Amino acid sequence: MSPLIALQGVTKTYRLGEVEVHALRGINLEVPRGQFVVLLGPSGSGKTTTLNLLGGLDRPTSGQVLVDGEDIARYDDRRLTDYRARKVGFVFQFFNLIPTLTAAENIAFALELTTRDRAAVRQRTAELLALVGLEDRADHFPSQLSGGEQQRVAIARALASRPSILLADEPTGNLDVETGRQVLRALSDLNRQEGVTVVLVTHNTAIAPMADRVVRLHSGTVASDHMNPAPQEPESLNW
Amino acid sequence: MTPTLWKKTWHDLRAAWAQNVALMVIVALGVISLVALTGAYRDLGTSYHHTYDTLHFADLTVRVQSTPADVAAEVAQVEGVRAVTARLVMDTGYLLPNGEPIRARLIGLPAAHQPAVNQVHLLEGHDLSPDDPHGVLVESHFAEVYGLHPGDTVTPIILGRKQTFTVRGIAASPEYLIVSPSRQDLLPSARSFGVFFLPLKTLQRLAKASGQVNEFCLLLAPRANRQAVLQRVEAVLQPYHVDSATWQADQASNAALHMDLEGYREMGESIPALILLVAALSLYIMLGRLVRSQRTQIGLMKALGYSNRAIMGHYVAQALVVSGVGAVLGAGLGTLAAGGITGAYANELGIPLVQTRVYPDLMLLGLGISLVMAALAAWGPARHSAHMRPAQAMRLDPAEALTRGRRSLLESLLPATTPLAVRLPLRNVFRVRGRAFGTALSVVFAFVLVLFSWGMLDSMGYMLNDVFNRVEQWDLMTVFGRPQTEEALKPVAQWEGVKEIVPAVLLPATVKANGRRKDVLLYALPPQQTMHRWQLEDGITPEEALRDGGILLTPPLAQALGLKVGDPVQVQTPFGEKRAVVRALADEIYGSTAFVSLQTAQQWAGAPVPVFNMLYVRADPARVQALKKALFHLPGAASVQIRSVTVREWRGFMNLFYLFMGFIIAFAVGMAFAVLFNTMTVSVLERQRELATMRALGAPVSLIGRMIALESVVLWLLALVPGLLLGWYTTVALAKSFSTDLFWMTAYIAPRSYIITAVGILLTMLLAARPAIHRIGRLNLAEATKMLT
Ligand SMILES: Nc1ncnc2c1ncn2[C@@H]1O[C@H](COP(=O)(O)OP(=O)(O)OP(=O)(O)O)[C@@H](O)[C@H]1O
Ligand SMILES: [Mg+2]
Repeated sequence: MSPLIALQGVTKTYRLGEVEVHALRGINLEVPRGQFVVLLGPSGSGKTTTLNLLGGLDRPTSGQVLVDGEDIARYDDRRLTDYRARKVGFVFQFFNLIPTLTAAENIAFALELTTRDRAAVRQRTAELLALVGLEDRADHFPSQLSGGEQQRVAIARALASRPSILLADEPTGNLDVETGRQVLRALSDLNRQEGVTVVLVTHNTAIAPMADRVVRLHSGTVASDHMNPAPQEPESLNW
Repeated sequence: MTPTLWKKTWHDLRAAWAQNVALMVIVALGVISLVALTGAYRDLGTSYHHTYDTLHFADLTVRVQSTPADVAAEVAQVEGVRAVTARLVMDTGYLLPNGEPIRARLIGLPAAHQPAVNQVHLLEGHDLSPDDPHGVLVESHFAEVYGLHPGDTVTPIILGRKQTFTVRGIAASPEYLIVSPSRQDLLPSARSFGVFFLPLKTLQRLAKASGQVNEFCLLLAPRANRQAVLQRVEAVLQPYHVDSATWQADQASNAALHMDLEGYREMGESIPALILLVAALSLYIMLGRLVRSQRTQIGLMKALGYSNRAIMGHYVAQALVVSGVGAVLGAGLGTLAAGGITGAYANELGIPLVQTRVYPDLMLLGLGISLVMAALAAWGPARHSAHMRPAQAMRLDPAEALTRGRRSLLESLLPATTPLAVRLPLRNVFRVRGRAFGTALSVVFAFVLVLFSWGMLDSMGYMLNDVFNRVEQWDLMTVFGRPQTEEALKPVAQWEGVKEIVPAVLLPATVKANGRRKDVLLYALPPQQTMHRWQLEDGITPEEALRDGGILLTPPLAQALGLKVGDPVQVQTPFGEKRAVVRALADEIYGSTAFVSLQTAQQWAGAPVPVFNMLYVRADPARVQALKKALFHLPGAASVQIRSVTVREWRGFMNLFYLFMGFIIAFAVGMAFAVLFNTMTVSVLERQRELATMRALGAPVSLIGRMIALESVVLWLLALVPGLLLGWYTTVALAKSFSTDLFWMTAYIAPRSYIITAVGILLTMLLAARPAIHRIGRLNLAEATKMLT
């Protein structure tokens, strides 16, 4: 079976005036469906860059980004937008909820991008809120939610269109340990129960034990790639 | 502030360069409008004074009957008289090449040199010369209307005989900056009145007045007692019969010019200030928003240990730089533009010697208002943020720190199934308390600026077309220099092409009431006539309005005299002081008009048989020109007006208005556009991160564009009613201020103008958001979703 994600010889070079920054220097990585991958690496190693390419937020300088066998690097803006709406869900370090929408509406907004069926939107919103354990916060605005609650709403939002891939960049970076564990629990459940492929970027090595696989980047290249034979529950993690 | 903070100030200015440039443009436009428009208006006054000084415009003009020219030497000896010029002035007729008669004034001047008083300014050709007794100078307005140039011939009538002269030159005269034969003439008109300067000797010979003059033009010593000088001069001229003595202030052209410029005061001073005020308020609103959106940064700076004072200083400095640069730029460009605008005004008014000045007070005012507004705008929000605890200020999402989501009232009106893409824009309008108000206010400003521009044009059109054409239903109007009996006028009704005639009386009069007095033109007409259709208030008939001693006034006249319907007034007429009662008010284009019935006037005159000095004629359009000639030849006819020509003259008279409005509209509309553009851009850019997140979630740019468009529509709806109302009130105030004794302007805005303004502003808002939306489309999502602001 072909992998869900395949990065082939991906490079990314930023040009800052005269200076060229080689953020990625040829990444090769295959992720099968249903895997929970943690991308580790020191600051500046290219983790976020990799994730942005997978999420269709940016385009590689060279190489292919294959998702389900299609090179999304070749997509035009319209198809890329559609890809983001249907195929991937993105979880940001700073949550990025729409401040003028309630928790439920933030999720519904993402759903309305792909369907006009109001009943379906309402039902799915309720399901997703339940999934992240926030049924009772449905009508709260972001300013009325804690950081952890906001991030869980963001995860629910990322899952709105039943994406096959969930991308999370430092999702616990702004949270305390306890809240961070709750968020990781939500991601783990998704992966286990819904079979969503998760790529989680962090420089926090303590998170690595919960992953199926740990990929370390260094200076824009894959430095190591390990399978984790016995992933741990998020509750047992500590940092 | 530390050096690092100065560096940051510089960096921040550069980072938000687009917004800063936009703000500078707004400030600059405001200051330009003040410096250029007000400066040009002031330059007009400066220029005509300069012209008067340079050409030695007479302080006093004394008309006498035929007097030996050498009496001038005696007048020159009078204490307090600095200079004197004795002239022969002759009011006569002139036949245009098509045979149409018009009025002409011949002024005999010394041919060898410029006169000491009332010099002429040669614009083209040569001065008068003793060697060329039949060479004349033509006053410039007349020359322009009829395209006369040196070498052409002109043919005034002297003592009943057509005389032919050659044009030597075209000249401007301080006495005819506005060409008006006398203060009794309603409209200045270079079309029907020509002024010619010719050698005194020539005129004396042709007028059979050898060695005689009939006018002394005087310059007085700077600190002379004017009344005493006049008395002494009159004593010297006593043997020769003084007809009239006219001070400079009452001279026809000068008085008209003063009244004109007075009428333009609001357009010259208040409107530019209004535009600057809009700029200042927009600057205040938008700078405030920019600083408020920097809250996270402020928290960060506090966390780094900067003092509140340093932080506030940092933001105030940024604001001052932006507005200061804009204002200085505006002052410079405004001064440059003022020269051009002054030139255009002076050219339209026919002021030959233009003098432009730099007005530091205007520059300082513009700069001052801009700087104060900028400092206030930055200081308030910066202080607010600086006084918060850093942790609070630093909530990582500034939009979130700023925005307490809530449902808007408007939203509760929507059905429950309304998609979020519709709800969100509604909520976004009201997302920050106070900001919706500020933003809507900017749009209201745009409405006001555009609507009063249209409104002033509409009002002028309304007065010139609707009122004039509805009221004046005659085709020709003849005024006689001496009384006519009905018997003498009756035959006109039988002339070919004449449909109807109405003899009437026209008197100069003064209406007095409440200790105030106003000079008016008093018409005495039969109430049932249909030549002049009064626009009376509801239900009142002319018969009622004019019955036994009733007098009809215009609203501005009644207002000036503190009168209302039913009040008694005193009317000073050539037949003495009479009593009348205000029975109604009537809209007239000429504000200083009053009407009584013919019967009332005849009673006042007390003549054994009714007499008239005016004749209205309704005629076949094809015969109007021929009838004009025939009427002019009636014995005693002083002037004949054709209605269609009169309305054209009114229009010509209003050219200056259109010129003023042209410049004002350019600035007002430019400012409206800049404000809308800025408002829309800021409200999109403020939310870059949020919009980038939506795109990262898979929202297409088109959807985001639609949401922003919907937001614009909501904002527009909020501003619509207050904007149109304020625009209307501004128009009313301006129309009132533009009205003078000569011309009354009623505020009027055509329904079409409301629609065009409203639709135009909406379209501008949608258009103005486009570049910002485009920018959202090109955002680097990877970066924009991480941005702090
Ligand atoms: N927009 C950009 N322009 C220029 N250089 C960039 C840009 N984005 C990233 N880089 C550079 O590319 C390299 C990789 O950046 P990236 O953000 O992927 O690192 P990271 O592994 O996510 O680091 P961190 O753990 O600090 O988030 C860095 O050297 C960074 O400076
Ligand atoms: Mg990163």
